[in-house]
Amino acid sequence: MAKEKQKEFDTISDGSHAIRKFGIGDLLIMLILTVLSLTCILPFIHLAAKSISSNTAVMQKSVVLWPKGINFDAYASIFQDGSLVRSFTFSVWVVLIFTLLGMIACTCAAYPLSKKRLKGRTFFTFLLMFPMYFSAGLIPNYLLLKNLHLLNNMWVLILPLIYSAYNMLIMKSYFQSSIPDSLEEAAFLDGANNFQILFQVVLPLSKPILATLSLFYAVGRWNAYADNKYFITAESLKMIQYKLYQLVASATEAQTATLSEAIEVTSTPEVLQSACIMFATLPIICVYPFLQKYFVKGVMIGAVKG
Amino acid sequence: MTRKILALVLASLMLLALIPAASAETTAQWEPFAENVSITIPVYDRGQAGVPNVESNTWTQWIQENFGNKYNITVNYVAIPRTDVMTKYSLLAAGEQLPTVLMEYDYPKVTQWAADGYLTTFNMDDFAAVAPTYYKRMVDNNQLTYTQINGETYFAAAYRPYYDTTYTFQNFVRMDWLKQVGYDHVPTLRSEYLDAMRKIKEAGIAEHPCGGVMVTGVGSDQNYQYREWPLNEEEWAKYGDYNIPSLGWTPNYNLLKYENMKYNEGLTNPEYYLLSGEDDKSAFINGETYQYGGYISAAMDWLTAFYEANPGAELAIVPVSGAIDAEAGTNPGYRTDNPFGMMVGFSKDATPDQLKAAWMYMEWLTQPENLFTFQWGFEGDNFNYVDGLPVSVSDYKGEHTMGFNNNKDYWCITIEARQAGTIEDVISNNLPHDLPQDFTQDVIGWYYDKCKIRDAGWAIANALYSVSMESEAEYQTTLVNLYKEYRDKLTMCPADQFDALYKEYAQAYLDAGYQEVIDERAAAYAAGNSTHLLNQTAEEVDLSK
Repeated sequence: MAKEKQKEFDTISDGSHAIRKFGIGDLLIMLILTVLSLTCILPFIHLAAKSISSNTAVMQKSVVLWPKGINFDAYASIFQDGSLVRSFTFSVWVVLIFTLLGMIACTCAAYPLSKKRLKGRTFFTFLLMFPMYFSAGLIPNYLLLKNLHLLNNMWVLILPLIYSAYNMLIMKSYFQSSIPDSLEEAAFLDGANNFQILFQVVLPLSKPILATLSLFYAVGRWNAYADNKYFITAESLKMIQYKLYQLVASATEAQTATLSEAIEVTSTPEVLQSACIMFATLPIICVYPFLQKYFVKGVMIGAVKG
Repeated sequence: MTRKILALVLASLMLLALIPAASAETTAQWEPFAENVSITIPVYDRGQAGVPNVESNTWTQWIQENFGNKYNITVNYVAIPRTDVMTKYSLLAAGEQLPTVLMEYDYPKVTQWAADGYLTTFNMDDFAAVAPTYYKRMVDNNQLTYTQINGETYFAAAYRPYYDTTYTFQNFVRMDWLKQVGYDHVPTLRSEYLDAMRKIKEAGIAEHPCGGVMVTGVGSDQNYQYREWPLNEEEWAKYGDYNIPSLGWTPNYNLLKYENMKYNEGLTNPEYYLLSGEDDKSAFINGETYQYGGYISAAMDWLTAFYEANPGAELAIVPVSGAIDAEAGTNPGYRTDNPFGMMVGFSKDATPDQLKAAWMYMEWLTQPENLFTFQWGFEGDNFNYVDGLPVSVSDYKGEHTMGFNNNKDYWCITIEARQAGTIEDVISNNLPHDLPQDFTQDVIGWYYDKCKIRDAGWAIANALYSVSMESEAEYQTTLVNLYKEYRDKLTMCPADQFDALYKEYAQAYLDAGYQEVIDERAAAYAAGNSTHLLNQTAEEVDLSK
């Protein structure tokens, strides 16, 4: 009996029975996953089709998954205008700088707090975790940034958010669980100071968490636009996501604005809107497959408490 | 050359009614400030693709060179996101960065600013001395009433031409369908309209010819044609606003009863509550519905799409109806736009010099030659003269690319529309001419008929309150959402259940906060803090002449 059960689960060397029997449960799971995947993929395909369709076909809502009246005028318009391209480039720079500074801030907070010998550790942990639960609100934040002369400045998109309590907690947990104390003690015995231990011992062994949190920082910054909305007015400092938000929001608000202004308030044509969204999203989609495993690891790392 | 001179003469003539002969002398009397004065003007940032940076572009530089440098004024602009105006102004106020000018279309918003202390009061005589053209136009158009709150002057009012004729909004209908079912004209009486819709449905031309669109709340179910005349001014003040639909008021009851009838007859799309405005437009383009209404402009992409999708189709615009339809219980009453464009207030933090500089800016922009350039651009680039009238070049993309809607978000501080020539020219300029049908004469005829109805005393302006309506701010969202729910249920219920349901929902609506709203409005009206009805004589209208 035991042997039979073992056989059921063993892989045979020729791979002909690589998985156990396929059951109803598996079918159900696959069905649900397929449906969920389609809810993500189909809107994207619809958007892509709209972006290269004729305006008439889009207004008729006859474009579903296949374009009609194929033309690339919207994309030509995007590159001709240039503002989206500039915004994209600017966004990439901001994300890169933000990620670098964010990782520095996170590491500088997580590493000391992971050491039990740090005096006042509990107090500092509380202080650095407090922002995770409470926020001062929009107007106090605005006033603070104004007093710091950060309004309408590239650094307002970077500095206020580089410290993340959530990311710090993940990194701290990782250091505590994955870097053995004995390694550091050995380094101390060899005469290394705290900085040398951090840079030459701990960080080289922490590449997975560094990669994961870098991704979290980068994606978080890329997707956020609220600070752009309230703290930036200069066109040259608008990030791509805020521009997309404006395109879409102006379309949904057009009816209210029309009523208020008593004239036709036109919004960006749907074809152009779709092309703009595709322009901003395609590069990320191209890069994501290479970074996917770090997202998955990051979820697991976040689940570890310690 | 002759044509150019003629065009300049026409352009100047069009504004002759707005300016006193001494306008040029006014700006000539201005002296530059001894020390540089900096003013900040708000501009909507609509996030439109292809529009230059709203804070700094060729046109803001043009203003600085031609106005600011001349009078030692630095004119700055601050972008206000169109989708979140009040939050932006709140942030600016909190940071003590209010622009010199605060302006908005909605009267409740500007009264809220006054109540919150963002605005300063000023002496209208001082304003008139600096900006006589602007002031005289306000006087000529009876706008001074709207500039005061509790006897204190807070605002200047931009001019909205033709606000009481609403010709810019037109309803387009399928004339070819009407001809198929034996009509040679567009029906305006309810009995004719319903007969035509039934015949269209029976003939299999359209399953639900009346179409339908989800109720969005604000601005929905406007019941002006159902109101009983002579109008009761207190009722008008309590219920007449469209920001919160007036569930429970007799005109609203009559309107919804009609909607219920159309729904139960299958004339309305049974899934109308799922359809957005864009879906409604698509349905018309696809030839599924009888009617679609929208604002006219020189480029109406949905009309272009309609003709491409329906070659050979024939449209007509719904004519103005001057008839009192006793059977339907309707009359020619209609809503006018507000008799002003932007309401312009001034920051509490503005110095006397900044106030004066802002008034100078407004006056300077009101001068015909400056306004013309800012609205139309430069000849050869942004526009060309055709038969002596300026016609915009729609696809111009060069050094002088204009902002949204021909720089409207800049010159809206003084006027709400571009005008060139006579009303016929203005209408012609606001319609496309590259479609199988040209509606210019129809809209012109519509305009003159509407003038007759206006002159007969049927135009109704909404009540405006000079005090902040706190109950509206508190309950508007709740009531609008509740109205959507009740309205759909009332539309879709069986006809014999309508009255009982309406009574039930009307009471629930009152209990949900509408009672407080109408009580507060009544109190404001009784205290003299609201506008009044004007010229509601409701005479018989003869549109045959």
